Amino acid sequence: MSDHISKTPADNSDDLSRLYRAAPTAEPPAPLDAAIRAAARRELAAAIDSKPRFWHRWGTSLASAALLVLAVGVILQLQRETPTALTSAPAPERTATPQPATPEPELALEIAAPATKADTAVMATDAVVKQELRRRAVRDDAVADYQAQPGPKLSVEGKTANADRSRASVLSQGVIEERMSTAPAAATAAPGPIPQPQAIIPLDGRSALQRSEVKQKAATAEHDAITEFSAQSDRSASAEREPEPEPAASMTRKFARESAPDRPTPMSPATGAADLDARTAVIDDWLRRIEALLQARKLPQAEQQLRAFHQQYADYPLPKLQQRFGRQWVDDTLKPPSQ
Amino acid sequence: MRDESDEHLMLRYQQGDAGAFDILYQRHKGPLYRYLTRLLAHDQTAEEIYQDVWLRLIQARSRYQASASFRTYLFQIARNRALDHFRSQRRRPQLATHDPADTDELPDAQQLDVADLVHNHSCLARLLELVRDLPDAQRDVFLLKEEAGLSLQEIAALSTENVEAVKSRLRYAIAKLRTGLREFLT
Repeated sequence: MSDHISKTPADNSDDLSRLYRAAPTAEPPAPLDAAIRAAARRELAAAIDSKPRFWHRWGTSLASAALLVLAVGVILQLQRETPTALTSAPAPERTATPQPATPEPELALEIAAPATKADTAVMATDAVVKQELRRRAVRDDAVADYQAQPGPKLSVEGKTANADRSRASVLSQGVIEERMSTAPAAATAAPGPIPQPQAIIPLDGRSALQRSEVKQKAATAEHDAITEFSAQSDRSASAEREPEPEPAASMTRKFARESAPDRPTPMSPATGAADLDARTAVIDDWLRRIEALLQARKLPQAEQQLRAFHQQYADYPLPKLQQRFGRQWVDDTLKPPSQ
Repeated sequence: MRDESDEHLMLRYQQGDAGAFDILYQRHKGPLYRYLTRLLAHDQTAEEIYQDVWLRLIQARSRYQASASFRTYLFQIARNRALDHFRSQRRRPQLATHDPADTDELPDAQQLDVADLVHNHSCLARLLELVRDLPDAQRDVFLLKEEAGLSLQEIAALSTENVEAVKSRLRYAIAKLRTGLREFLT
């Protein structure tokens, strides 16, 4: 307590210090003590509550912002994951057109994930989707015409239900057609569940090419046969008259009657009755012209045409050829050169 | 906890220990209160400043550093508040300026034989009156020495004065007090 900075009596205040300490001491009032102590505790409590107070003030705002960010993220993610073919396709119109039965849900899910399919399957699916879009456009035109006509219309709810069924039908149909396009030919010969078989014809490019070649060769053979037949007809004017060949119409009916039970046909699985008739007519005409060449004694030309016919229609029943032109001649003509 | 240093207790209060503050307050409430009441010579003003000093200490607890003496820190706040009070009263503060009384001739004062005086209440009351009548700078130094227990060096650092000036003021204060108590020396 005392400072001994000087040894002089004037600097030594020990006596005064003792006397001063003996003087009555004063203390702050008790309420003042309590107020100061309470203030000290209040400040500590305020400091401890500062963090919860912050969350209480900003918690709602932060939670709302986080929820908004999460929602935007989910929407963006969904948009990113949705297949382009399906999202870019226009939504089906709410039409009153009758739709096929509602497909199975798993089929629709399969078309919704094309990335898991093989490349061929993806291409086939894309073709199916495009084809469906074209078909839908035609149907929309028909619906527009239908709605333009006076008369009772379906309610909005019915249209909505039909549209939903139409959308599901498109997905299901796409999967079915996709499977058919990748299935073996024997399996594709069976009649499919698609109610519009003409829509599948463009998918069978091989059959279309084959038909094109057949038509081209048939036209050539027909041209040759007609030429020969015309020449033969000119020459046979002075020759003895031979019996008239069987009419083409009756031949066509005969071949159609004979070949029908022996199906499966080698033609396209989706070939309809019109295509079958056209093919039968071409074959019948070709055989008729071979028959004419034989009757005209033009054996080299007849043999050439028979080999061409057999090469083109290898699946044509050989017994029928033998029955029509003679077993010996058919076997000799179609015998491989090495043998 | 009772033996802990003021600095450690203040650090504990800084970290949220209210009990440490109670100990600090119990240790320093009397000296600080007497310093202010006897320096300002006005009880109500002294109590207001006393409460304000403690509130400032509480609010500034996060800025306290243990490198400084807690007692010096506490009385530094109190002295600054007292100077502000003097300025607000348009009274020229005399705490940090040269006191004209310091130039007076130093009275011939001898040490007191206080063995009997400590029980003389009249002498003790007279001593307090003499302290109150000291010039502001001398009273400030005397109270800082007796109530706060600060050394001359600590008082010099706190008042931004040199040690010799502080010593001179203290010397004059002691001489005046002894002269005033001379009547009790018989």
